Amino acid sequence: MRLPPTSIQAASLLILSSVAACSSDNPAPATDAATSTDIAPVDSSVPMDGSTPADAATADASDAARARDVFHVTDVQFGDVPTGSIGVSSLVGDFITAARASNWSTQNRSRGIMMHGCNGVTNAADCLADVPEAGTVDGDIGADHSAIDGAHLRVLFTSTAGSAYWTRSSADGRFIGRGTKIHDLVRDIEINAAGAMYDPAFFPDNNGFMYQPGGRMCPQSALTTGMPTSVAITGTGSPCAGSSVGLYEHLAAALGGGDYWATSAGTAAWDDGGHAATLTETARNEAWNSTAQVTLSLMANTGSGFSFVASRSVSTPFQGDAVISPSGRVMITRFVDDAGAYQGYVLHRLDATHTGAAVMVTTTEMARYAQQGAKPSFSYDERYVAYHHYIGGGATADADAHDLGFTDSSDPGFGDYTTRGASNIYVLDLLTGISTRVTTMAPGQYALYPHFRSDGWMYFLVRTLGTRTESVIASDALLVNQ
Amino acid sequence: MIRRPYAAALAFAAFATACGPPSPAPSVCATTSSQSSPASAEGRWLLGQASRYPADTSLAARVEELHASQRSRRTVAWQAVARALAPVPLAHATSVANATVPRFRTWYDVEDVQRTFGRLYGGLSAADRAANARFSDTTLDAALGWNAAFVTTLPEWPADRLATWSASFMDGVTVAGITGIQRIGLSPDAVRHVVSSYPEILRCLAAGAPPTLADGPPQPQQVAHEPVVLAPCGVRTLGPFFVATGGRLSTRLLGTPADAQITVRYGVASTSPAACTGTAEEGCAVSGPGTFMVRVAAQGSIASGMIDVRYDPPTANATACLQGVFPPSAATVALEWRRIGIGIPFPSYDTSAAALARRLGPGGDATWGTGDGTAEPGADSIYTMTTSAGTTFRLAGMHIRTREVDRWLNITMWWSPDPDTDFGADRPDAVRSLGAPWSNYKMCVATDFTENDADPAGGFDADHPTLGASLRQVHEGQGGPSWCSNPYIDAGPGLVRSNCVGCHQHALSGVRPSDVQNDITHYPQNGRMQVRNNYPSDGFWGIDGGDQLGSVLQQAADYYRASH
Repeated sequence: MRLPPTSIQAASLLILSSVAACSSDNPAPATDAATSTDIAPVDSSVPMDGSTPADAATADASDAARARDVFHVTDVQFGDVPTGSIGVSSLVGDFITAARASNWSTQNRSRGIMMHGCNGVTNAADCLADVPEAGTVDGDIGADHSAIDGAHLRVLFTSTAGSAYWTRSSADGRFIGRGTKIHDLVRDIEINAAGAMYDPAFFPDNNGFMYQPGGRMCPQSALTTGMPTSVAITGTGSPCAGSSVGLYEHLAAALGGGDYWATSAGTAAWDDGGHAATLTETARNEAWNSTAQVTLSLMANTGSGFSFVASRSVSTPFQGDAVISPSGRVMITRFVDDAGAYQGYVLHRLDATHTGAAVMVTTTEMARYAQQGAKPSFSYDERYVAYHHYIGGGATADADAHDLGFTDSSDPGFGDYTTRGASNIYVLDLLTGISTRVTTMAPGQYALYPHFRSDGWMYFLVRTLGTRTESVIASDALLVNQ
Repeated sequence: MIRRPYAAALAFAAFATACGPPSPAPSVCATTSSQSSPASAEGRWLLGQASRYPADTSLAARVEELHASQRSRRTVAWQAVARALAPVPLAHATSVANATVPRFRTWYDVEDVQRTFGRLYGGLSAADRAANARFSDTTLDAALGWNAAFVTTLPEWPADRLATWSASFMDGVTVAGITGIQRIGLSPDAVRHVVSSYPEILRCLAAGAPPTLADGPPQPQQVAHEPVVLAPCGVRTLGPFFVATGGRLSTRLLGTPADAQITVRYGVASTSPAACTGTAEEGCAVSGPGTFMVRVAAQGSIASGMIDVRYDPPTANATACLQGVFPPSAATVALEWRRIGIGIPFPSYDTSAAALARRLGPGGDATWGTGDGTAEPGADSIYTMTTSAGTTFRLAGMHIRTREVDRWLNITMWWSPDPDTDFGADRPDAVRSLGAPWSNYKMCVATDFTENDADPAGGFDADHPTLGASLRQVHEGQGGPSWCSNPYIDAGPGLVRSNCVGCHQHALSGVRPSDVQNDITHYPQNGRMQVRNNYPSDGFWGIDGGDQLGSVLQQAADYYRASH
């Protein structure tokens, strides 16, 4: 028995109502809504890693959901979920269990990758302790923006130079690609990505990165050797090689000496919000209709390097913004209804193989989640997805207002949000279907493009309306409450 | 540490040309770019600590013999091959009884270096890091031992999982995959030297490598003599000669100089200006510091005699970016894997005398190209591995370099469908006895920039005529550039003319292989000539090429030096 989508949407709205303390810059919310919660924690008992919680991965998902009494998600269906229905099928649990044993978080730890800011600590949660918390430095994003009890928002850096489109980081958390600048947190400098235009992306094995246009694949050693202030992404002397990977790329590396895979735009919604008031998820660049597709590209390990072999388009009806997981085993898309309204996310199992240069891809729907948001990004253990969600207008305005502690969107306290907009960060537990808000941004503050590093820390960008100032924030939301 | 002056300044990089343009095809070093999926922590546990390379320490004393005898060179090279390929048992059991891997497959890769150096550097106190403290032998031993057992400290690898995983290796091909898609491998003593040299390496990465001429106080004057007979319009160029600040170089032609002229040029570039010019009889002289070439040119009549060059070389640190030269037991491999099953044909190459003549002769472009044919060799005739991801690779070729002699034994091997001819004709029983795959690889070796064997056939005409014939095709005269080229690895334009040594001199110098490839003016003779008197990383490309070990060291240093 499955709930109809309308019911699960209601459940998701309840999920979204997991409220924490509001920003000091915020209008005062209703006090009875200020109940805090936490996300199923990542086991950080091993140095510099954020592995999947040992118990949660195998726990019964509905039990896990019920354990959080602020979430009334018992209506969410688990188990035998028909394709196209909202719910979490048993395939997700199978996958999470398998991924727990082998994923890029554990793999990177075994490779000895040194996570940025973790020198001398034994738990990932203790990393970045020397990085100032938001609100402690003049001109930063301000205090009290964390929606998670005990979690920290730390300001990695602030720049007065704005950026366009998304921000992404290296697996070790050292390099942050923000527009065409790559910030090296160790040297505290911005490295110019010369010749690039947008869409930085990093391989989960910490070996390389990519920029657009041209799908330029670059070795990470270009950033770590010597004291570079600029890296030629294109042109003479560039260490990068072109590929056929298109825009809006997300990169995966198969575990155990396999191939690199990438998803690229297909059908996408460019998302560059926060420069102007952005009250809802941004518009699609093309219709996500019954012919919508995602493109997967294979860059095969030839033995002497990675060579683009072929691309394959896969039908993803009424879906777009496909994002591949770090290992390439699953993929998440956003889906719309017949009228084109955003509805939530679809999680797919991805079976991508090839015979010679012929790429074969099959997708199997594993779950549908009714959360609203954009720019999802997988954790390295592949259990969680982080995303941002614009608030202030649209169909979710009342729910968003309620989530922040207001009566509804007509509440005077919510008024600034309806004119200036904002964006918050959320983390979706793929196993339980529970989505938890991580930030409480003030009107005109846009927390955007969240993504994880290998150990479970999450980085995201904050834009402030009317300024070119941007900050990159680190959150330990997945690591707290050990 | 001061490296002993090479005898190379006396063993001339000499070549004679007619009056026509002497420009060979451009050259390229083997690629140093790399993407690899090396041995995992669990793989290292299964392999155990890497097996030490058992160097033949008598070879250093035989270096002049090796330079002068292709036969001796090949004999010791095959012996080194046998040592590098010797089977080594795994440290833990698999489902394959008494499983072994070739010794070089136990050698350390980039991730071993990453873990080991991180452990070592992280173990230093802040004061020791600031002082660039050295690691003791005991500390190095402990770190390498820790690395081999590192996986046992990871919660996701309990003993029962390791046992199950070990038991999953059912045959030789999967056992071969334990080491992963390793691109370079370092013997234990090579790794120890690299990580011990971290202060020098980090300094060179930050401040840049020394220039091509490492200057210093003048050494006692050295004298070089080279007999020449030049036809009218004939030219002979000798050098390079490295002269210290405060030193001089003087030269003239003794004998019957006729109307020949002698010129000393700055640097090795064919376009470099003259530093002095004179009649061959009177000669000319220049002052250091500098790198100079001596050029004798006959005019309208025959010139003959002995070129006399006297110069004051600098006393210089030849390996400024390392803590001295590598020890004899340092050995490295660079592996060329080819994937099976992605639609890329596996090429085969003909290295017979006729094929080499075709590539090197007029109209040939001295490039190996895409192959002379294709093949589908099975695991019984080519070293093959399947990784844990299920991908299968063939080992098409490999460089083996050992530091048993001053400029390394530069050995390269490549698979051949016709393995017992030309460069495989003299394969000794010690290699044949290793098993079928290794009998399908041919081999060449170089130990110097120049070929000092007067016999173009290397002494093989009688017992291995196909080898002798092929060597004859690549022999450019005694004192000419030496030769050794791998069809699968030395794939760039002109690299059928290659000798390994010329390219490796530039390691960690700031010169890129692509520079050597494309700039025939500054890197003459397809990059085979000596152009510098120092070798910042002792000819080891792994620090600033290949797996970028310098970057690995720097990342660790940056990590621990960062405030958080």
